[in-house]
Amino acid sequence: MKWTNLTALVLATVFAGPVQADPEAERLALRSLYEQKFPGVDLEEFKNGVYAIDEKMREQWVEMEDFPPYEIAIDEGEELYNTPFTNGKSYADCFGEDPGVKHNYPMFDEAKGEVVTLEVAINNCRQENGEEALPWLVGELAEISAYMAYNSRGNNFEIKIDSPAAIAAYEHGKQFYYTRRGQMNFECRSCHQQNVGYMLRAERISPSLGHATHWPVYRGRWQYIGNIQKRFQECNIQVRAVPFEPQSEEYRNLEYFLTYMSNGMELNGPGSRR
Amino acid sequence: MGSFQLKHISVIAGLAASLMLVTGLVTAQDSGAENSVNPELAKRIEAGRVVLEDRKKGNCLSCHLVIGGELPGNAGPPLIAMKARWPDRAALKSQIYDPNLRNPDTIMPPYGRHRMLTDTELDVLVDFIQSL
Amino acid sequence: MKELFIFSLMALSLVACGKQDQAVATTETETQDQATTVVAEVAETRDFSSLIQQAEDLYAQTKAANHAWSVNLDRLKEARQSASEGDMDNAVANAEEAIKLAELALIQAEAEKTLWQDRVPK
Repeated sequence: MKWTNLTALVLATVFAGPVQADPEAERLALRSLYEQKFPGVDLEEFKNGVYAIDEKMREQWVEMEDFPPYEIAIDEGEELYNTPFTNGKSYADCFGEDPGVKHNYPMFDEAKGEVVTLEVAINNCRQENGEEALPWLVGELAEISAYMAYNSRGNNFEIKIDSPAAIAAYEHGKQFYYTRRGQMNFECRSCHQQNVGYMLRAERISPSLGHATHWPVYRGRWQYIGNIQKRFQECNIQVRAVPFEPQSEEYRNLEYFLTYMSNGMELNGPGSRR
Repeated sequence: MGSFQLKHISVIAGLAASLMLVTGLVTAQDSGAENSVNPELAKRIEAGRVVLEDRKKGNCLSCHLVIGGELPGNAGPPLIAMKARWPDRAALKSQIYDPNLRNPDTIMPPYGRHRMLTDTELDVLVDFIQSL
Repeated sequence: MKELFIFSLMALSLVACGKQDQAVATTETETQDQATTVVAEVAETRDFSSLIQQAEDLYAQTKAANHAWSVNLDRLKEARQSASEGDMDNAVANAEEAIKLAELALIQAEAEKTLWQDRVPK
């Protein structure tokens, strides 16, 4: 809550005009929107996405979780994480003893003036140690993320917005979320707020609250584990928009906004979805 | 499953009743009047059904229930008794062409305004929907 | 002003061509027919190249505005493909469609600059 004061201070000093960004108020407003839509459903359940509101799909999912399809990715990720770089250093030199730090990402890097997702941080770590960056969406990078997410399980998301530049990035991500895009003319909100819980063909539409808690995800449709920005691209393609580059400023800011909306919720990644 | 489905439940209930009525009427008429169906119109209705079902065209089943349509979604109201609900062709066509005119906040895509369907496709789609 | 000047030049040269054509028309009708066909083909290619250029420029604008549509890109690709296969009718039709789609995407980009603000739950 301490940043609320800071926001107020920033608003008072920087924005003299009508621009009012209050991420915390907006997070609470989003929570109450889903509270109204799904009375009786514990909001914390939305860390399980659509399975919070669809009993039949939940049963299948719980069954699948007996032998989680992302387990191999965690093991692979662990090995990759613990393999030293050619210069003798390792990921632990970047992230510390405990690899369970995913609940703090994305974070706003004040020095760089931009949002850093966990995937960007992993690749930065590699490049600072003379290694090549890994492909963003799937493969080894998603496996390392899966291992780190697994070690972060049980922590609550704690995304911080502590400066005017960070608020600007949050605002940019928010604008992306609420903007109609593509020939189909959809916002993220069109499906995930206005029509959340309804069916598109045989798929029930998931809520945005909790959207960020369970990544990376093994998706049945993909048959492998992938990062959240792969899903962003998929959503954009579905509305007939040209998708953005992975880890583009647009997607990093969107992930920053979306993850902030899940602040305080439990991280339970990696996850599995249909 | 929760009250969020209430959005369309009353519509469905009301329409189910009128549907039974309409089906009854149609069945009663069909026996004698089958040959009198305008073959040109029948062709257009069939073409419209294809536009409605095609995932690269209308893909209407994604959100709307149509009797006989496979795997319908329920984000939009069911397309039942449409002639009664949308007797005016032009109004129905306009609603598909640009639903934002009536409801700026709707999720339904502007099929005509954004050139997702051609004018001919819109026309036969209206024919099919009015036959529902 | 520059455009006007160029336009006048073009008009003048057209008139000149016309007179020249008249002069030779009586003696070399066949050659002229062949020439007309070639001229028509050249004109078609030139029409397409200006069309596709316009379509590419507009698409680039939608991209810069973060509002590019995948269907627009599809039309552009098909236009280029058809042109390379010599199917100029299809090439032109697709370039024209691409232009219309890009214009719509730009309208969307402009409108959405402010519309999104009212959609944030309060």
